[in-house]
This record gives sequence, C-alpha cells and structure tokens, in this order.
Amino acid sequence: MKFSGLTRRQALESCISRGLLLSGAAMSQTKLFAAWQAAEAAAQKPTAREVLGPFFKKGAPNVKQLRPAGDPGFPLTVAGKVVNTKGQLVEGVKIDIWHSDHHGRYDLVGFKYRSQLTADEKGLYTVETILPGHYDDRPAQHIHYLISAPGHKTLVTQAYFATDPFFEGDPDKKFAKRNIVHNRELVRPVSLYEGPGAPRASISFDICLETA
Amino acid sequence: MAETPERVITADAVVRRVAFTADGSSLMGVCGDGKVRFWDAQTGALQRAVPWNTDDRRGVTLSPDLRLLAAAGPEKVIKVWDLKSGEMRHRMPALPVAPGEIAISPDGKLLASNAEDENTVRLWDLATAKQLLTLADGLGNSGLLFSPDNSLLVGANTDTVVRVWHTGSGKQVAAIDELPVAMFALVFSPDGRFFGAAGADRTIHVFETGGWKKVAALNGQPEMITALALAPQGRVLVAGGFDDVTVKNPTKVLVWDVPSRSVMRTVPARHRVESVAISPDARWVAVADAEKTVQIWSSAAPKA
Repeated sequence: MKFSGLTRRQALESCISRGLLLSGAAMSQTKLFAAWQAAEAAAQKPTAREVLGPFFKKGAPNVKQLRPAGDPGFPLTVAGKVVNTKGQLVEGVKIDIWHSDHHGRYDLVGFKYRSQLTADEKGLYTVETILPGHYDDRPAQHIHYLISAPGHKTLVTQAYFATDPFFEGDPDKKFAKRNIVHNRELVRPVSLYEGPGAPRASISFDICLETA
Repeated sequence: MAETPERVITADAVVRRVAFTADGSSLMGVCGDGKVRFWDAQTGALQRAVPWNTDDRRGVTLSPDLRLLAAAGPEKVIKVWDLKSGEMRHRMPALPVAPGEIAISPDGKLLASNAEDENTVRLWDLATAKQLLTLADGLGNSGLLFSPDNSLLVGANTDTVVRVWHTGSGKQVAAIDELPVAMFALVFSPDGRFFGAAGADRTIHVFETGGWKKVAALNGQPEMITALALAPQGRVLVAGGFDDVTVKNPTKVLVWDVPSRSVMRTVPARHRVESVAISPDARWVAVADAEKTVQIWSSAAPKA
C-alpha cells in the first residue's frame, strides 16, 4: 500500500526516526512492522461465517429497541461497525438480527427479538435487547446475523458470549467444544454496567463484509 | 385414559426414519446405529438388518422405492447402498464441503446434494457418479425432494425460499418466496400436481405445480413440523414435528383427510418426531419419535 510515494514501511520508519511512533515494549523494528501489519490485516479480515439456523424469519421491522418494558431477560446492548475487507464503509447494508428469549424460545409467530437494522453514516449499528437463553439442544447463547449489502457477499454468522457457562470460563480453550462454535473470534467479551435499577451487559460485534 | 398405540415395534437403536414397503407387509427403519431394519408390519418381528458404513451419517436418505440408501461420511463422499443386497452400489467423487442433504429421484437415476456453505445444489447421475449440473441455491438447507416424474427438484432453504429446478436443463422454474419461515418437510402428491411444504410456522402449505400458486394452508399442528408422509392414493397425510425448545417435550402427530382438509386423528408422540409413515392402504400410521421403538397407530380415530 502506498501513501504519497512512501511505502507503509517507509512511513513507519520515518515516524520512528522523528519520534512520532514509540514502541512501549522493547520491540525490534521488524517485529513492530510485522505486528502492525498483522493487526491491520486482521481488522480487514472478513467476519467468520456460521450457520443460518432453522429459525430465520423474513420481514422483521427496523427496530432498535427489542426489549419490551418488564422483560425478565438480562438487558443487553449489542453494537458494532460495518466495513468491508477494503476498510470502506458499506452503503445500503441490512443487518437482520434475531435470537431466542431468555428461555431459549424463538418467536416464529411475531417478530419478538427480531430486527432488520441499518448502519448510520459512520457504519455503526446498535440494538437494545436481552441476553438470549439456553436450552438442552442449544447449549451456547447466541445471536444470529444475516447481513447483506449491494456489491458484497451476504454474510451469515452468529455472536456468542464469553461469559456463557458453556465456555467454562475459558473460551480460548473451550470455544470449539461439541463442534457448536467454529471460530473463537465470534465469542465476544461481555462488559457489565451498573444501570439505573439493574445491571446491564453489552457486547461489540463488528462486521467485515467481503466485496462480491 | 392415555391413548396407547395399536402396536409397538422395538429396535436396538433410535429409529431416525420409517417407511412402509410398497406391499405394506414390512416396516423399515433407518436406525441410529448405522443399520436399516425391516420388521413384519403385523407382528413387529425383525426380518432382517442391513448395515451400511456406520461413519456415514450425513444426509441419510432413502430412494422413494426404498431400494437405495444414500449417506455421506467424514471424508465428504456420498455413497449409495443397495438395501436388498446390502452392497455399496455407487460412490460419488469427494466433495469440497460435507453435504447437508441428499435426495434420490424416484427412478433411481439422479441424486441431488446440497451443502450449508456452498449455496449450490449438485445434481449427479447415479450410474456414472458424474456431476451433471450445479444449481444456484439460497442460504441454509432445510429440504430436498424430486417430483414423482423425476422432472423437477425442489430445494427448501432456511432463508425461507423454496426453489424449483428442472432436472433436465437445470433451469430454475419457480422460487416460492411467500413463506415467512423455513420449511423442513416436503411432499409431492402421487400425480405430481400438488406440492406440500411444512415447517417452522406449524402449517402445511399446499401449492399446485402448474403455476406454483398456493391453494391451501392446513393449520392445526401444535408444534413445528419436520415430517410429512402422504398415502399412495394422496388422500391421507400425516404430519409430526418438534417443540420449539427441545427434542424432549411430547408432541402430537396429526392425520389429515386431504379432500376435506380436516384432521382425522391426533395421536401423541413422546418427543420430537423424526419421521412418520403411512401404510399403502392408509390404515396405519408409523411414528418414530427419537426412541428405540416405532409406534403404530390406526389412522382412523377410535370409536367412542
């Protein structure tokens, strides 16, 4: 990649020589470049795919508040940014999101815990909902995603929760247990906040689409 | 008093798929231990057990004439067994992705397979094991079925679209886009004039296959539908399914009188219904409900 005649490496070298880039740890320049490039490449890696599952329902409304007043589920905010593998914002993206209630049941009659979201001008989306439930046959809590945008491959994936007892407190080692979750990246750290009256949780789930 | 089945056939393994043979004398069960068992439909006595490779558990399917069984294993190869001789008869080339579902055409000449990540359906010539066509499919697989005259292939997807292809040309002839949720069970009428699909909305949607317009919706199933069986005369339809939370909860099997669109009988199932069958004379209903037995019920309601 070139910026005004300089390669990325030359630009970084220039920054180091001028004191604009400081390495916190004792890191060789080679290692620093490698780490920098790996991080940038990872940021633009397409989001891992997961199965669609049997309970998608077409035609969900565009609603950001999926948690009705008095819902017994644990309040959860899900937010993220949508980009493509070139690092660009994606025009016209539609994010179908759906999950079960806190007992592990999907609403197939109406559209409870189902929405087709859009991203704002900064590529950001957010939804207020609850932590999905567990049940015998679906042992890991998850949120389904179906994301489509003109000029991009449709992405089907799922977000999981690092705090889920399914991962036994060690998602790094346990994420692949029982062949249910196929990618560690999809297991998201959970932040807990003290809310007015009750605690609430949040996860971030960024989405990177492949260009078609 | 709780209703009890007329007969119970006991297997050594969970029965995943049941069917009556064409003369109605035997009931066959595709069992979870990699064997197909045949029982005397009247006495329940085991007649024979045909093993197939026990590692090949994906997409297990029977040909409509019940002579062939197809399945794929960990090496992503679809194999086809002759259930009369017990020999493996066909071996397809290795696939890049493990197949999701497999279907065999009624004439035994074509095999179709799909895969979750591929968004395609592959159509194969069984005799030569050559792939004939690649059909562009939707997202997520939930059903695959040939029409009785072998001319059409129907694929249902969890993106809720049901697609219909001409098996000769590979041309997509219809895409049923009006269903809100996924269809898990598909059936054709014996004359091919009607097609039924049922799934997550607990409804059996009936389409005429001339213009693929919906002509009926049979409502009344208390759970999601995963299994359908239509008697050879096309007059009696059986449906079973699963509770949306678990395979463990009890469910109901509904027996429909198709001409009047009314329920003839409702029988209890202990868990998720994996498969239902109806005898050629439409008198007996067989239910496989995730146990090591098959329950046989009369299709007619008991006299009060």
